[in-house]
Amino acid sequence: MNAATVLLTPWRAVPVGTRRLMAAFYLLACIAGTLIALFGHARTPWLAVALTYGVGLFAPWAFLFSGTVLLAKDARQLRVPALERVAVEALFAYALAMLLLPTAVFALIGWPWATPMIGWSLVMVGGFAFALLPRYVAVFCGFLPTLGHALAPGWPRLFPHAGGEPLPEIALLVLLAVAGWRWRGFVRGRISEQGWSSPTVVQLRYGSWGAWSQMQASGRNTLTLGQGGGNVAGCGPSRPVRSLRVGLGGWYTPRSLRWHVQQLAFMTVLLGVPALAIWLGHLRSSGGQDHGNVAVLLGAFFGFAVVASPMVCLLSWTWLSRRWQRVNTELPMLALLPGLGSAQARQQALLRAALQRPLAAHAACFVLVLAGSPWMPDALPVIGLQAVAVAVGALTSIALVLDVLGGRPHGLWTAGPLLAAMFVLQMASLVIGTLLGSHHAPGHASALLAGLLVGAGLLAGWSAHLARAGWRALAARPQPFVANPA
Amino acid sequence: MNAMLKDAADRPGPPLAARDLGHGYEGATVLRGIDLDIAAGSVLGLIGRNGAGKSTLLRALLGLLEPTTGETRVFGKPALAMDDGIRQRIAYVPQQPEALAWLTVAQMFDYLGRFYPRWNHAFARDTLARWQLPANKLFGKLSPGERQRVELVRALASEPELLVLDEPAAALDPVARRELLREIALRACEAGITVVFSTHIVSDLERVASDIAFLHQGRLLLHCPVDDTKERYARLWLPARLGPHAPASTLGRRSHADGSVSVVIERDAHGRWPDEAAQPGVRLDVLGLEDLFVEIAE
Amino acid sequence: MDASLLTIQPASPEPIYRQIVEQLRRLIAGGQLGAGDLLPSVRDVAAFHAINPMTVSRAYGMAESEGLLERLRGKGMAVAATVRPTQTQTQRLALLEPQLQALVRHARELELPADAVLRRLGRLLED
Repeated sequence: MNAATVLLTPWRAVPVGTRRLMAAFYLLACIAGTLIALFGHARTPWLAVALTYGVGLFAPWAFLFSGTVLLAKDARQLRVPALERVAVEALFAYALAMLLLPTAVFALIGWPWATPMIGWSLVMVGGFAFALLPRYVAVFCGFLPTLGHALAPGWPRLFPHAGGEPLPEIALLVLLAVAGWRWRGFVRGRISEQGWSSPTVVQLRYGSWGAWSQMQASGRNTLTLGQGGGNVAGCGPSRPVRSLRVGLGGWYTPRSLRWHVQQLAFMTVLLGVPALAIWLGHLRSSGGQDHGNVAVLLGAFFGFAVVASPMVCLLSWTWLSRRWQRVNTELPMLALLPGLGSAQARQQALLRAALQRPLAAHAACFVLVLAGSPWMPDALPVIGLQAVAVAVGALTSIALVLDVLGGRPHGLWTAGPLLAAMFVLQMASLVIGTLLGSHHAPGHASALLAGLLVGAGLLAGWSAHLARAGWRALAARPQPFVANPA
Repeated sequence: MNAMLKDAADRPGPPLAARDLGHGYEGATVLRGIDLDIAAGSVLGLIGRNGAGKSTLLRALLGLLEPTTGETRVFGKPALAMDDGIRQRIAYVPQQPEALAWLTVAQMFDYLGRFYPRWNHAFARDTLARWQLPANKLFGKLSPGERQRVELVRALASEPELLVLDEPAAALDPVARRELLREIALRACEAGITVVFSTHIVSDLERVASDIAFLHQGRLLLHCPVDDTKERYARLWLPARLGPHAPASTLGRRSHADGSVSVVIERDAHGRWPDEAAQPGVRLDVLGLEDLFVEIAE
Repeated sequence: MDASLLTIQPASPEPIYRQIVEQLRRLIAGGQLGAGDLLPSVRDVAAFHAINPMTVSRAYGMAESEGLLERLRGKGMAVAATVRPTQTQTQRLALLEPQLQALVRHARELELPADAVLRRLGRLLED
């Protein structure tokens, strides 16, 4: 076992895409750090460089080197102790190299090196521990800065001069202990690879789509939230649309009341954390003026609506494309299921089943905008433009769904730009609507408006064209439950 | 008279039929010019190597794909345009079934049972218990073998007249496989149902099939009663000096390193072997199905 | 008689229906099955051995036409009343037929002249 094998091991443990992305990210950070050191005008150049390098360290340790844990587990299960040892050795080798090399550079230049070294170790171990911790921890990680800011304002200032208390050192030890404990548990098979409590790193097992697609496909992501929650009550030949929704699965599935309650509780916790953070921040702000916070809430509200619309489209499109690719799942079952009526009736029921959910979700996005509008000074332009954007988004959803059902599924190359255009349109309509409604509307606002409407028209035309083609293809199909080529 | 007409209308054609069926994916041809009639009441074992096109043929027969050429019929109706009356009479279990993974087994049966007028609740319940399948577990959480057995119970519970199984035995242990074969045998005996199943486990075929069809590289090489494969076909081995006198065989011919030749031969209309079989020095082996399969497919 | 008395070897080159007939012949010739003994139903044999019922029917039909079995109204198949454990010489010789045919085949493959084989066989039988 030579050094090259050891050094190559972590790279072999992750998918190619991840590998390239992480290498690029780290190199970019290194280059950026060097450029800052050479040409930067920061007051404390060492801090700027150290921070840049620290950012570059996080991603590889969270998403690349963490992959060795998968390798180590497989090696242990296959009874190849040498490989497991190599995985650990590689980790230490990279950790030392990535830590000691820049530290040595810092020391040579004459910059302070002890603080950056501790900071970098924290980032590395933190990223590594992040990957090994359960998925639900990852969900909350995004809110940690907000929450931390709300609970202890000014905590970032502690960081560069952590002179008095050995806080970073303690944190480092805790993170190391956590990482070691999770590593042992995972490698020895005590920690499951499925569900919400599986480590985030399991994501790397299934290539670029990640484990989510696997879990979605088998319905496993709902396992920790009760027994699937599917509800077949009320299905049957008399209610073909509802029955077809069961067959379509995923977010089309009719669910039980209990499942909805569980989901609601989960979402409440999820949204409760940032809400709590904002509220705490509000309590701490001395002024008592809540304008700023209302603006934050409104922004969150509208921002959610803007992101949600393309997400709805993406969700139905990916879900149905995958459903229409696999020949051993629901497709043959639906094709051979009696009781759904004539070919025409089946087709209509399928269309309604496949479109009802996304269209309702688009409508819900619009309702969200309406619900937020009373707090705006002049909401009419926003509402009007959002109505246009939502309508165009709905049309895009219809087009993508029809193309899948008609047997002319679009790849990411068509759907990607379509979704991106939709996102830009939503965003622009929100911004321009707000501008038009505000007191200080710029002079060229009407030109912007015209541009926006032209863009909306173009996107609508494109979607309508796709929808028409999909509709014709669907009408020409002898039966709609024929798999599309992968 | 009316009853007779109705009877004729109910059963206008064979359970499954294909005419000049061809199919291909992205340039690769999977099926070529398949003509097949499956008689009512027969148990047809479809045999072929991995990638021979068995699954594609079964799916094409049921109208689950649009063939490039030819057409398939189910009970006399075009497979791509069958009505609910025909759908009620057929059941299909795909290879490695994964449908409705997000429902529990009980929910799945509850759901499907609503659509099949002849759904046998008692059979479903009893067989699940007998085969030790957990009714309250999510289908997606079962092992592949359990999933396959649940799907088989599902297919049988709808009391089909035509049962199509794609590699039903692949994920089953020997005991479960025997159970399945027994169930197929009894159904064929009592209800007179037609069964089509694909497999590469030849011993399953030999037990339960009444007919077999060899699919090789997208072509149907052989379709005959299963006993015929043992009585009508044999392998003739000729030493090197007699190699050139080997009978012309369309089924299979292999040359060996020492110059000897073996061919698969067939009895003529009078039940006689070709004359070459009587030459001194040649050897005639009656083959089991597995050997015949290897001889033809290699 | 019970269905378990039969043994089925699906992988053998001999078709299953012939295996059944052959075993019935032996069971009757050997006296394990006496005249009037009832045979298991087609369904029972098929279910027990997980084989196609048509194969069993075919075997029973063949045995019936050979005079081994007879169909009793309402009861199913039974060993024919005319059958005796001590059969005629021809019937007993018929049981040897498959082995004799195999012998002939092997002799041809070895390119042995018939009289040499017969001489040796005769000597073996006289011993």
